[in-house]
Amino acid sequence: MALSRKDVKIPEDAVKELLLDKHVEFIAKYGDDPDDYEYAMSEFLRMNGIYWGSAAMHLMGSLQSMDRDKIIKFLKECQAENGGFRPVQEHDPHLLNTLSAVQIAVIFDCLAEIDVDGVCNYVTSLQTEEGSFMGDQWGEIDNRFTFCAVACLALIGRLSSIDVDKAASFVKSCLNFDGGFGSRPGAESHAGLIYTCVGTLAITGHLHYVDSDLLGWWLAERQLDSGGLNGRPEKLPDVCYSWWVLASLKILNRLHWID
Amino acid sequence: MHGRVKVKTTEQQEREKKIERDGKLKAYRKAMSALLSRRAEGIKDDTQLMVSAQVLQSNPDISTLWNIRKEVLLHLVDLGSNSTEEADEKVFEKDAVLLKELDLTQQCLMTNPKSYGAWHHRTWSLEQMDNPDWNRELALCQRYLKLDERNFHCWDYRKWVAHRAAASPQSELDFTMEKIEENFSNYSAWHYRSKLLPLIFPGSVQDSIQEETIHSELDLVQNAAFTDPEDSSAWFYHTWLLGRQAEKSGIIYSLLENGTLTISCTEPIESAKLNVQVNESTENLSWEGEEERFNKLWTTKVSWKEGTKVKIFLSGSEDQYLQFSVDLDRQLLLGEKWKSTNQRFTNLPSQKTKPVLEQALDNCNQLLELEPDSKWTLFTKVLILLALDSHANHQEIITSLRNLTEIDKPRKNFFADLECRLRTEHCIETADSSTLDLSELNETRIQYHKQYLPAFKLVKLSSDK
Repeated sequence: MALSRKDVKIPEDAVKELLLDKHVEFIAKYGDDPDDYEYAMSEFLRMNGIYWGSAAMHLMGSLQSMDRDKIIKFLKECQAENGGFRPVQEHDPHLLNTLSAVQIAVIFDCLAEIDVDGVCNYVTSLQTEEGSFMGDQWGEIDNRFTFCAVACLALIGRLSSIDVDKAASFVKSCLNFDGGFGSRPGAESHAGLIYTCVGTLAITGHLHYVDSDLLGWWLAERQLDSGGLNGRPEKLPDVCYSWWVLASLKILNRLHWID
Repeated sequence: MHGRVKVKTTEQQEREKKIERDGKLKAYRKAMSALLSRRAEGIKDDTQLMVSAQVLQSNPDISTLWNIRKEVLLHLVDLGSNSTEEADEKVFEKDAVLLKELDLTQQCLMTNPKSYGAWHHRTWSLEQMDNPDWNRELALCQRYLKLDERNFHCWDYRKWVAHRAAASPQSELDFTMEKIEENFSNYSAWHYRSKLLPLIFPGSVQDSIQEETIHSELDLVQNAAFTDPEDSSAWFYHTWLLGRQAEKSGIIYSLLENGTLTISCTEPIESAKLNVQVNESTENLSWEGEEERFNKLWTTKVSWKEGTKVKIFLSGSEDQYLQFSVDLDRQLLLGEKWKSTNQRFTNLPSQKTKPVLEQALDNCNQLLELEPDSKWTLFTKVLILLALDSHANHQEIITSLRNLTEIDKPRKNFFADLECRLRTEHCIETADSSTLDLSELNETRIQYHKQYLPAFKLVKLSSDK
């Protein structure tokens, strides 16, 4: 009997081995043509994209294929006066890009090239009374931003600048019946948000707020017959969930609960 | 990109696509350039609104454009309220202006119903309005949830609207019922239910629900689960209803042996919460634990003379204290949380709940006769057996878990670890006062109930074999 119904069927002729060289090649020349449609139209995500590309290259041992100087120049150009980072020049700064920028700086070991105090001030200014974080001055609250804030500050060694306990108790207020977390209090459990919440609790030393057995099981149930993982019950698998789910299980010491 | 199927195209199609895209890119860049340069000059006018609207309709995730709109709107609304100052400016009625934002976000949501930017801008616009029409917003939610009943952006938005509109939790509960009746596989609706029930039918403990409500919900969820046993949504909700109540914080035991004082707690606490009084005055001790801040197990070195009176309690629970007079032997004091043998991890159901659970067990067994490989039914049966009497049903539970490792192979380690946890509990419950024998347990990556081990004089582990 099939364990899952909403699932994909991997075609017979699908690639069976990891083509690392091709991935390196793809990332190395991505952005070479500024008029490439996908590249140009996704400029509002560029800072995030550079992080994803750099992290992948680093994992593949090919970081030297990236243009370090060009990236450092880009980082400097994208830091705003308020300390936050824009996704690309002239777009507005936001916590999401600020985390990506700091992550990029750590990967390339160039934190000295950016205004770290500025980052600290920017992130700190976005924490609310109840401990949550706004994404920017316009006030959207979401645990994606809680994670951006604590991860960012942890990477630059300035976690004590924010109220860490309040941030953790905001996350706790987002706990759901299934052991998972959503974006705000009352929001449904979702693997991506679970990663941000479990990550936040791990960084702030409050992992004991999580029922690791209950959540670990819910995360293990994301695996479908195809081997792929979905983000919540009765949804199709997507490779991005391989990251959110596996990383969360690893933090919870239950990675062995999936195949 | 998510959910996009790879499609092979001919060279001709590729060329046509490139021409179309070049055109789109050119238009996009022209619009963005105009918007950003005019913004840099401080211009906040209708043109900015018009041009940004065009770009947003196909690109609703460019948050900077939503920001530009907000800046312009705040400026226009400000102008409107000071209309006497600018004689030749149009008078802007705040709500009329903001209503257009609702139209725009609605169009954008048709392009991408999951656009964070669009949903937030809609929220922001309504917050600025003097007289928002909440019924219109509830109707919008209805429509979007009909298109995609799992769109969590829409569910979150609906919750916010319901709160602003002061909709009763009961009316929201009725809405979840509608969605569940339409389709049992609606995890989002079950989830919302789990939030509303503690508000409408609160139990004695915070966030819990009344016993009768649990019974009626069990009835409802069994109906759903058995109608479609392969759908996980109802089964997850079922699991929650059967779950153990969270244990209240407390001391399990204290142990004084060879100058080391150990305090074991049910949940991780900060050492500042540990209170130790020696001959009636508070001792300041320096505690050690595995983790830096929060631990279930804390130890400290002491050098107390025989006959010293010691009193131990947690802050906030001064009435649940442990008290003893120091002698030279090993002194173990069992706390309020160390219940008598067989009861330590067992929570027997009330007289009213027991028959409900027995009926549920019966239903599961009936379904298992028809479909012995139904993983959800078998796992739920395990949970029911645990809820009824984890101690008495121990063997049947273990056997079922072993079956599950065969039926649900990807998760075999989960079932194996659960077996390990339950057998550890069983061992602790049946151990004599000094020896805990865990040697029959398989090695596991997770050590359960570590905080109990120091209480036993001798602990046999599987690695001792």
